[in-house]
Amino acid sequence: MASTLKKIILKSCDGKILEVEEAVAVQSQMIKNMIEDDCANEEIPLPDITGEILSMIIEYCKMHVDGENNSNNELIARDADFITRVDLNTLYYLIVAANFLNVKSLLDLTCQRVADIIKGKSPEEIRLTFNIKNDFTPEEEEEIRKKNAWAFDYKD
Amino acid sequence: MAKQAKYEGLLDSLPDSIICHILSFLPTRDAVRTSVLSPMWRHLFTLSISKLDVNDCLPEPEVSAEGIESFKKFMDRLFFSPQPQRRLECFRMHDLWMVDDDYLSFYNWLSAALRSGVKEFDVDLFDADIRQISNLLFTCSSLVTLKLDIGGDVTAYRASNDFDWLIVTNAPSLVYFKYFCFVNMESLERADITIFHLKDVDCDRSATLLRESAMYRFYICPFMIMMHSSSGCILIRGLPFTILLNWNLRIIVTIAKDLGLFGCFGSSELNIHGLSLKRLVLDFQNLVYKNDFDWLIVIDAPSLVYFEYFCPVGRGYALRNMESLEKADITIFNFNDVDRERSAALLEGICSVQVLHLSIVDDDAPLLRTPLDPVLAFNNLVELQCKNPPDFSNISVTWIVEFLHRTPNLKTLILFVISPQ
Repeated sequence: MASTLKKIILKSCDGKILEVEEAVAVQSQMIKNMIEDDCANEEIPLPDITGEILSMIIEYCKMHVDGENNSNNELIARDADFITRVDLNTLYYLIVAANFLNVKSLLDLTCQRVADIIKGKSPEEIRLTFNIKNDFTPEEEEEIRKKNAWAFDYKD
Repeated sequence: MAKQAKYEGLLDSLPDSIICHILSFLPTRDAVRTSVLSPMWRHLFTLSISKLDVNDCLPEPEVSAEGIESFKKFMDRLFFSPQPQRRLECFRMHDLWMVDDDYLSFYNWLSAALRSGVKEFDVDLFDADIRQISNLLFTCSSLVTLKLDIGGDVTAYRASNDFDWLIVTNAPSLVYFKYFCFVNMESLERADITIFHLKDVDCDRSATLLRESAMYRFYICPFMIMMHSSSGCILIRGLPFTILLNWNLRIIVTIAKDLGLFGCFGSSELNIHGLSLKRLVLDFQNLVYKNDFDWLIVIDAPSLVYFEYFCPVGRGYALRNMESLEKADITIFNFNDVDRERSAALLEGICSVQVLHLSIVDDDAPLLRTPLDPVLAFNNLVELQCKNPPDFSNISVTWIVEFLHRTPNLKTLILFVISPQ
């Protein structure tokens, strides 16, 4: 019984301490591995994750633990609701954190979200959206477009 | 781990593996378009492609000649560049307009896709020749879902070591069904198969016949079919109605418990060898003319518990090892004098049955004399149900009396006989 109530203590890079139930924490494969290796008895420092992002990730993991008995559609709807509330900067930090903590479903959800934003946009629009600096010379760019002309032939 | 990005382009600072993961959620065309974003993005998309839907890339034939050319080169680079071997999850190609006359490239792509560990392969072949890829196709061990459309009609089956179902419908080009025979089908759970095989020597004539009657007649191969199904059943069903069998069909069932053959006719030998079979259904009721059915039926099924036979009387029967049979449901139609003797062999084969439902359509002779061998006895029979099927009221019950003499342990007799007498 005691083990089910066991808390895992996480420390964000900005010093925020969060206590998380083990069942929620093990959604992270990284933390799960640490628990299995008996390395999770003291607080776990997470150097690249802010308290704000960490809270969001815990919210997400909790949602999935609590919703285990819910229908798939319900979970998908909740995921969608969770991810569409997130702005691009936060999305980036979520991806980094989901990757570091190895929360596969969250990594998929966040990457899918970025893909959805990219989808159907022209390269110019994508650059604008994500502040991508175009280092190509116009000639270089033209050459690449030519090489895969089929992909640039038409607009959606 | 990516460094905390301080500059404005956050997305750029993600590790390549994550960017590839993002791109893998995009349709191929959108992924390819990211190559122009910046030098960093130049080649990332090539690593990300795991699902390739060719017609998603080129949805319309209005694409420029330059576009088509560049796409062909793209496909060649994708499959044949010396970089690490391409791993594909899914390959889909439905419209062959971009193939034009360049079938060689097309076969090369299909072959490369089949070698790439592809799990789902969904291709319309139309005029293409399946033989060009059949070797690979029917031995491809990564395949989970295989959808082939040959000649405009849907042919779909899942294949591979993970075979869990197999359905082939209207596949006039599928002359290479024999490949299926040797595919490892150990996990096959359900097979719904219509098999074509135009006998090699008879190809031209059969092909013509097939075209004329493609909607309702199917050809089944003369090959031996081996089916290994861990659970579930195997159905060989002529879709929509008929399988035309003009060759010997030999079905060997070693794991499956259930076999159904539906709507076959022709003149041949049907040989079912089913060590594992518990249920066998032969349902050829779609036959209109008895003359279309002239079969020698050989069954060897030592585990058979249930046998259903809904057919005209065949040329002959050899039913062996039917001792475990518990229930038989026999409907024989187009019954005439010759059939009486022949059907005796059928009844002889199932004489150890405990429950027998017998229905004889007798549209020729009003009186049905007993066809039974005098020594034939149904010693295990406890329940007998006899009926004449609807629309056939001209029936006499004298054969039933004869029958009762041979059923010493009968407890229940149910008669549904409508007789004018």
